[in-house]
Amino acid sequence: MEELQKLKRKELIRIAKIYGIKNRNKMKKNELIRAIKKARKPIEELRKTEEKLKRELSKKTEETHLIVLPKEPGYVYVNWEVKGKEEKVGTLIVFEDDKEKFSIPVNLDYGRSYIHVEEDKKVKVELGVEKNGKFETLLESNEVIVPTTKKTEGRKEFRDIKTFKMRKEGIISEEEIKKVVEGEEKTAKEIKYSKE
Amino acid sequence: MRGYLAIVLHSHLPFVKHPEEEFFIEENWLFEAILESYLPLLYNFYRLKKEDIPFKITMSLTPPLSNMLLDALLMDRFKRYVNSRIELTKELIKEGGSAKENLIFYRARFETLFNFFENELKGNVINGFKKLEQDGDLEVITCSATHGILPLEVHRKIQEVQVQLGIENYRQIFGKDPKGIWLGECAYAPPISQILSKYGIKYTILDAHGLFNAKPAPLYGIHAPIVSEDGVVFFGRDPEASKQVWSAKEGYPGDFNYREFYKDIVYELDSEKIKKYIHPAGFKFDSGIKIHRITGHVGLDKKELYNRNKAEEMVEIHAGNYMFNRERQIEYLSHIMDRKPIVVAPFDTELFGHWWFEGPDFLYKLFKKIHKDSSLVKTITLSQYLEEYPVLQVSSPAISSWGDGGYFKVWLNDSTDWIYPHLYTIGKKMLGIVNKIKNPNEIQKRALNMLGRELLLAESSDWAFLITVGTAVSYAKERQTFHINAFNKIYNEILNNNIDETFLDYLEQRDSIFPFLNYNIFTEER
Repeated sequence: MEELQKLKRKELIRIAKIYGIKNRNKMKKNELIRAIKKARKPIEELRKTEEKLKRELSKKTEETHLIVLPKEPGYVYVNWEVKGKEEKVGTLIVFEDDKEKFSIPVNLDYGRSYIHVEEDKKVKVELGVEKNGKFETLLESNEVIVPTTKKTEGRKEFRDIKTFKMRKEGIISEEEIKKVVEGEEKTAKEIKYSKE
Repeated sequence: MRGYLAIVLHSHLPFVKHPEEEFFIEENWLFEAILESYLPLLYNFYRLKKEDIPFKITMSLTPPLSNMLLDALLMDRFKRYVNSRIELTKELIKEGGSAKENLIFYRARFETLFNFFENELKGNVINGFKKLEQDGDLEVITCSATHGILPLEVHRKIQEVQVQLGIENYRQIFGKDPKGIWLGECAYAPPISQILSKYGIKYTILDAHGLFNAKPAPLYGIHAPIVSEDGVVFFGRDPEASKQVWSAKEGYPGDFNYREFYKDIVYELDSEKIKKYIHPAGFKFDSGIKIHRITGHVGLDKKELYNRNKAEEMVEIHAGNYMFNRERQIEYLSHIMDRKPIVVAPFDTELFGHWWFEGPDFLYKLFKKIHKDSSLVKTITLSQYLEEYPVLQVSSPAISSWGDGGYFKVWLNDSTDWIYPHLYTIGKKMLGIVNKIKNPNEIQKRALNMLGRELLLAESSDWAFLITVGTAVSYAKERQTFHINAFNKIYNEILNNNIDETFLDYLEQRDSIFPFLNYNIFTEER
């Protein structure tokens, strides 16, 4: 109360706004102080709620899921949670371009892993269990493309972005251009991997 | 004239607003950026206009930043922030001493910039962007809604919402559609090109390897943009033109005559004496008054006083050197290409002024020099280049980002990977609940809109970045955790029909980004 008494009416109106006090602009200083005091109690509760919300978060989401994310050339991140299954052990199968590449035994209920895969492939994973000698798929992940550092040569086609027509463009010196590009790629790599 | 230089400045800060506290340290990120970067840059761009010096520049303005710049409470606090610095310099000047000249310089600078803010910009930084955009000097582009790393978002619909809201936010401010977009952290992976095309975005910018490793590898490397099959244009960052400015070690900002960033006057003053200017709880934080120069590879106690005249001489030399290097680069390229080459040099806006104090003056001098002295180089905006050269090589850009290492390890690593399963899960809940709640009442609508805001704020790349680089780690973890938990709290309350209105009111005041947001944007098309 004493602390609020020290503030100017304008400052009290600003505080009243934070508390959502209606008709605050019409109130006198003492009325504002009373209203703020009354509004404080739920705010203190709010603070407690906020404190809790910003400090406590389990690594688990408590929702069944299987996701894969691209990390860097040759690596993806896989995270899963399975609810309501008795089995302790599952199998994670990794697919590259829709072909099964390898499988890994994993804890079924929760796990995370960075998996080495081939660059530039479409990767997805499946999680399942062995049941009566048969594999039962429980979850299928999303699909991602693995980042790559590989270069791909190909046909050089040009398009007019205004007319959408394909066009032929003149090339003055492909060899010299290549040299420039190679030099710049080298600089770009040096920058990317320098620890600044 | 042989070719073009396209300076691109990316203006972004995470959404930080804490009405529940009278002083909140992290809100200073915004105030520092306004006073040290945005105002000096706009001030110098206005100077160029007054001097009839033509210049062209492309700048992104991200939705979190623009929402903060338009927030009345934050702008009131910004004024308080500046005034307290003006007062502090006045008090310190009275005391005299060897630093007096530098303190007078700071006071004059604060007053000039604040006067520019109040009178020329009418108390709204965005007015400066608008004016320069209308005059055609500056091309403002948008950004994904909360600077999310789109390749790390599993739900395509939410990737789309990030782009849609970025466009809508731009429309609300500029009254038209943006031509270009800055992807948060320049992070690219399919199907982003399709999404940009779907929402009418003409172009974006990638790091160099996004073009070098495109399929097929572009003939002109990064010196001409490429167009994807979806019709979206991708410009590539020029490594050399960027490094000279960006690198604190090898670049211009490390020159010994420039102002030292890490030595702030406040830490040398007696807390009791400057009580009014520090946090009410008694701890100190940067005042922005930094009166020493880098000096050399010496400890902070050995730094010498800043000499403004000497720093200005170096700015002149560095601007000349930068122009010379671009001229040589462009002159050579122009002989071997069938079009005028473009050198794209993107930077974080906050590098200019906040980190590199003399940065805004460097740009001012560079534009002036190019206009007066160069017959080889001209500055250009990215869409102007496309007007002149609409015929582009068709190529699919490569997965990439402009972060350390060039991909996603900055945001996805052992210390941050706990974030993504939560983002996936709350994203899935968001996409589900908008279909589940038919005909919501008013309070349910408010709660659904708030769910959208909490989800989007949880997706900001900033929290993971800060955790990885070890800056403001506890704040970043708290924010990341809070938005995920707040989402889940409101989600459960909506489903259980017991919405905590007091908490909702509070969140609407605090996480007040995108006041126009309608939860229906998350509805999947059928």
